[in-house]
Amino acid sequence: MEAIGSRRLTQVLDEHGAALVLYARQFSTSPEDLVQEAVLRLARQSPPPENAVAWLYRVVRNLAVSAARASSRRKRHERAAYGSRRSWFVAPSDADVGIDVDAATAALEQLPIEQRETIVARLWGGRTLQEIADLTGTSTSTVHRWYQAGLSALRERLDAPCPRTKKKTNEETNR
Amino acid sequence: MSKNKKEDKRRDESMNRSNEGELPIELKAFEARLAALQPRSDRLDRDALLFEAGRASTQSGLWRRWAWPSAFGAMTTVAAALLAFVLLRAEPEPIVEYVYIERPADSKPTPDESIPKTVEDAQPQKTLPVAKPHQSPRTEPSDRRPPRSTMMAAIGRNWLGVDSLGSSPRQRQLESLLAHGSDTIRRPNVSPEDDLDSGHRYEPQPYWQLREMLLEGTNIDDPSAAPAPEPPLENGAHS
Repeated sequence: MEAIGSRRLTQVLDEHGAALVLYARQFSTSPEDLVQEAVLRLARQSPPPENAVAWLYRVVRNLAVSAARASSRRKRHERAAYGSRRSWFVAPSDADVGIDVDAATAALEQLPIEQRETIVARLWGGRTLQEIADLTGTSTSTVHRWYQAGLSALRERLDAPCPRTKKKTNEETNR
Repeated sequence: MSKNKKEDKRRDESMNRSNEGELPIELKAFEARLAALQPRSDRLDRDALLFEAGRASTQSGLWRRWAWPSAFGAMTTVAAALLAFVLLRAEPEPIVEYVYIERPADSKPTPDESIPKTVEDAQPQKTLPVAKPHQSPRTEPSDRRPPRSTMMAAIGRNWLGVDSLGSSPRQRQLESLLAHGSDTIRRPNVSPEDDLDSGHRYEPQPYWQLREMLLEGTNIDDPSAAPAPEPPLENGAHS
């Protein structure tokens, strides 16, 4: 049996690489390492899984949970230091969405992990509620409830932009 | 250009996905704005990752990685075990089995078959015969050896060039010598030329006559004192 082809692997990385890193970032301070390990495992899979993207999300989550169990305290300190320096997003270049990327990162970090994982997997990972339910081991209704509660919390924090954040966003847009 | 297409595609997907769960209208608009944000992926080295994935795909499966080393190790172990077994095994004890063959009473060997043609045929073999399975070299019956007379005939034929040792007195003496030793040998005749200085002529005397003369104390040098000659011993008789 043949492993996954290089063309298909390149396509998966181009379309879902960034979202996978963002998803892995919810659990780990070294999300790129988790994604790389997951992609390498996908390359070794023979035959390849039917839904390679869903398989990658599952492997990333399992790897992140295992790493978090190994060194949860160290990860927590590193995450606090790392999150204060880097933003998880880049602002879109064509239109002003009215959301500051640093504020979005900070707001996401303050969400509970299940709501944050659900929003990231659905919004940027393109996963369905059923796939997220399979990932988290819960029901679809529970995932929907997490998703709606997370969006409401983010909207409360981000939909009333402060003038300073708005000014900074406009400067970045002009560049 | 490609980034814009990706963002549009993501927005469409997010809008379609929003139909999966019923959300309030204000949340749907916020969801679309939030989905427009692009996740940061600048730390993900795509080319290096694809290179590593290519390497990993060629090493897929533990059995492929360990198949040949395992086979090599197994065959080496088997070869070493066989070599040790061959070197350390004990010599098998020979199986000696006595086989008695009854010879038919009316089956006598013909003269041509019983008399060997050459000395090598008559002499006992120096090398042991190759033992056949379940047959020891010691189990050859003694009656298969050539008889003494046959051996004598073969010696006479090969060494002396005669077919039979009993055809002349000289040959009979030789046969007696071979059969019974030197006691039956008569004293060789002395040539008259041996004592030409004294002019004395020695008559040829047989050995038995000389011995009788010695036992009786007769002077051997005086032939006139010798007893009357007796006929020589027959073949095979001891004195």
